[in-house]
Amino acid sequence: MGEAMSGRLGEYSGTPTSDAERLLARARGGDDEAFRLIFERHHRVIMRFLYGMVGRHALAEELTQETFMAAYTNIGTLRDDSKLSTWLYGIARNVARKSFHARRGEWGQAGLEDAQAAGARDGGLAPDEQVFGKELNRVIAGALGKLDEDKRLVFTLKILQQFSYEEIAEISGHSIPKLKTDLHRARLEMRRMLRPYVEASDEV
Amino acid sequence: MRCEECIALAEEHFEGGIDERSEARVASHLSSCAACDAEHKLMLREQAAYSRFLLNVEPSPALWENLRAGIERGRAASVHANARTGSDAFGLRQFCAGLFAAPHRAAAASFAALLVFVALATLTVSRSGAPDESAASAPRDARIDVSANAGGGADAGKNNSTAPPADSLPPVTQPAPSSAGSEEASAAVALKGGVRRGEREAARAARGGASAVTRSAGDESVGAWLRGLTGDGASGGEFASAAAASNSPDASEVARHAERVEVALISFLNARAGARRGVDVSYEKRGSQELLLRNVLLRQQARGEGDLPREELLARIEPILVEISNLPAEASPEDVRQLKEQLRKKGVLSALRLYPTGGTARAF
Repeated sequence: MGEAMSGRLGEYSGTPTSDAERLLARARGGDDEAFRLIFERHHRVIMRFLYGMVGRHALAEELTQETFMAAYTNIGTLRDDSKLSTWLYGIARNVARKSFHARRGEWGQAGLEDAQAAGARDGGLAPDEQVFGKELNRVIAGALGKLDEDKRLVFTLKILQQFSYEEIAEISGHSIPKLKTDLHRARLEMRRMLRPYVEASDEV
Repeated sequence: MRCEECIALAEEHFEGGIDERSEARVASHLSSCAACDAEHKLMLREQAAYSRFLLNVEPSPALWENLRAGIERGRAASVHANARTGSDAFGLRQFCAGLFAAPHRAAAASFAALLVFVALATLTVSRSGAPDESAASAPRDARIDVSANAGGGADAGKNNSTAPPADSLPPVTQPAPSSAGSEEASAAVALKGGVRRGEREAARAARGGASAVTRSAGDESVGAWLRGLTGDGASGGEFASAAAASNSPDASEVARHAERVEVALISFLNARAGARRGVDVSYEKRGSQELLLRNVLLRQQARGEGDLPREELLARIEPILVEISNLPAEASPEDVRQLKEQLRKKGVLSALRLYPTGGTARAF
């Protein structure tokens, strides 16, 4: 058995033993290379989460940078037994919330270039389907923007990023019953906005 | 079964699966209720649209460089603020520098300083008061509570003495493109249990192949960072040796690989049957074939280095990659359903998300 398995499942010895724990300990100690590894591991999924929350590529990238800046500054506060990914998502959520409040009214103006970029890699689709796919991406981005923050959060994490309810509860601080209710309502609202386009996709 | 119950269960199925009995009940209802069947088809198309929505959201290559620049600015601001505070408040630093500048003054100055210190200490003990804190002695670990302030840039400027030396962060290492061609990938998945044959062929491809290119690129970035710390081309002694040993390019490779696998598996979980009743998994299949080859190489490296946790993680995800790679481009819904069930039961996504963080022991 390796060092990492010396503890019982669920126990934490307080001393970094596994490769992953050593990496986190190094990052908390100010090791920039360790932080770079953490960045490489998580930046893409964090940016996709932020895109789901704010609907604009350039803004999502800017907020991703803010998220990791905050993570770099505050990684010393991360408890040893915390999940780094959950912690990062928590920061990203706060960053997105602040941004949304500061830019109130700017959602939904996702440029056509965003949708075009998003649809650029629809490999395997016929040209008509690709064009329609880009339009659908734009509609989805707009529809997400019309949801309130709680519904958008659970929809992005559950439907778009396949997190479990338990993980979302840890990120958001909400109870699982509330998350399920919010998700159900989010689905209904999204369906109402998307339905005409989804029905039309039958013609493509 | 009522229609409302059927649609609710179908929706639950998209979110995380339902038990087989419920699934059978839903399938039975859909086969006999045209309205629910039509609604279900629309829900499937919705899901397909959602599964493609985030696929192409990619950060620009400049993101790390921008982040690094922001962190450097924060550090510089912090150092500047500390220096300015010291000289404005007391001028003590400059005074001491002048005092000890000339050797003949140094001994007298040291003795005088010792006398002053002893006097102050005696006075302090006799009064039983708390020692004064110099503004120059900043707290060792001045971190900020992240729960209140997640603003990033401004907060970074407040962080001080525990920050690493104010120098350049290591440049990003772009992953070298794999030199292993599609032939090796095809060989790896030719047999359902074809991992062993794939291992042999992947090992042949790796000798003098992509891993060497990636490793040299990683060494270059570590070397540049170390040179920045020491200010010269020297290795930097004990610190540099320890740093070089721990900054293995393997850790970076596995981290990137884990992220790509996570993204691919999320895409697979979102795949749904289309109008033709089959599930289009061509995108996921192609991705899994590429990832499988990389997974085999990394697992072998981990085994060679005796890194058990890393090897176990890679061994855990490999069978899933093999299964997805072996699916036809238009797979049967039942095959896809079973594989998704396997994915969920084994907690593969959770294990990936935990890597590389503390708590790895829990994932196993």
